[in-house]
Amino acid sequence: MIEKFTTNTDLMPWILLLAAALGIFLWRFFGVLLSNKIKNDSQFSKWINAVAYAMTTGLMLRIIFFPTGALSSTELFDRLLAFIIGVVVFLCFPKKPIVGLIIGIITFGILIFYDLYF
Amino acid sequence: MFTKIKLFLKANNYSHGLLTGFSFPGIGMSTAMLGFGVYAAEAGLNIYLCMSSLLVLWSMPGMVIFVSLYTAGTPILLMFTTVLLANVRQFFLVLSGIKLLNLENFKISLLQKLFWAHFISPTGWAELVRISKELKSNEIFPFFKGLSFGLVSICILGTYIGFKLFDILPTHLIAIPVFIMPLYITILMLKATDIFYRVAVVSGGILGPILFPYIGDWSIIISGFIGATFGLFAHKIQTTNK
Repeated sequence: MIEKFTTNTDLMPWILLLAAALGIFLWRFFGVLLSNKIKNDSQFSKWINAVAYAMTTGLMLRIIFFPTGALSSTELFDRLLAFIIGVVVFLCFPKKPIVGLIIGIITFGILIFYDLYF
Repeated sequence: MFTKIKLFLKANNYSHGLLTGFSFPGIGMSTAMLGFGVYAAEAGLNIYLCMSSLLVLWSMPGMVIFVSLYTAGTPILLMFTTVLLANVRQFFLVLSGIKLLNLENFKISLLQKLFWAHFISPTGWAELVRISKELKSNEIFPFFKGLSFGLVSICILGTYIGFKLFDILPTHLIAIPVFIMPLYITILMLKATDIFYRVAVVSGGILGPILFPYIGDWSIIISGFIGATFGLFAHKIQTTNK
């Protein structure tokens, strides 16, 4: 039965997609299941949140240093400088985070245009 | 006029989420998906498979691995194992995200919980953290529903554009909106006021890129564990000093 499925070239991409989906679904399933067991105000719950905070920031910094796709066609210097400027502006005006974001994006845009045309 | 429409939309939690989904987080995520559409088209996927992988996986590492291994003609078990190992972070995001959603206030089934957990991506989770400081606990779930709908819609559009226009889009120009996501989410993370999370954010941000060349995707999980443990120590020291 399995052999019949895996030799069918039309179905194979969909079976592979199903296998990939199962790989992700399992983590989400266990996440939902275990979320009931953890108390909201416990130290462990805070630690889990902190793991998510640290992981997400680590992932974002990884995108800056080791990008894939369109960002990988740009210079590390451009990405890093624009990122640092955006973050520093945010730290100077923490109540208006949009300012840091917009200045960071504009800086990155200017640096890209500079690389392309000068 | 625009401010009035914005205020009207923000008055309802679902439309507030929808509006957020179509603003900065959505623009950043959809341009990243535009890149995925280009990648999928180059790899020879058809549009149905490309769109299905977006909706069914809803995780960038999972989607990229799927396309890479699919084109390499990998066996089913290897596909499952690779995606499983590369997505451990989903566990922690969902564990934390479900708590933020306060789903115990709503009578919903396990299947419905799983459905909404599917949309807890790093962007979705970061928005949940941000909004949990602004809304009441029972208002967060409707917001998240709107946010998810907005993000899914704009990402479908981004992927479709990327897939259809992959040979004419200038990559340098696409890179500008793609840059929004890492900067925007880092700023959201830095808004954390609790020392526990602040130390975790800074440690994770430093360790993630340092470890990546040595241990690849595991760097995210390891930096998460170490960052959170540093945060815990900082919290303990602060509590002892008080």
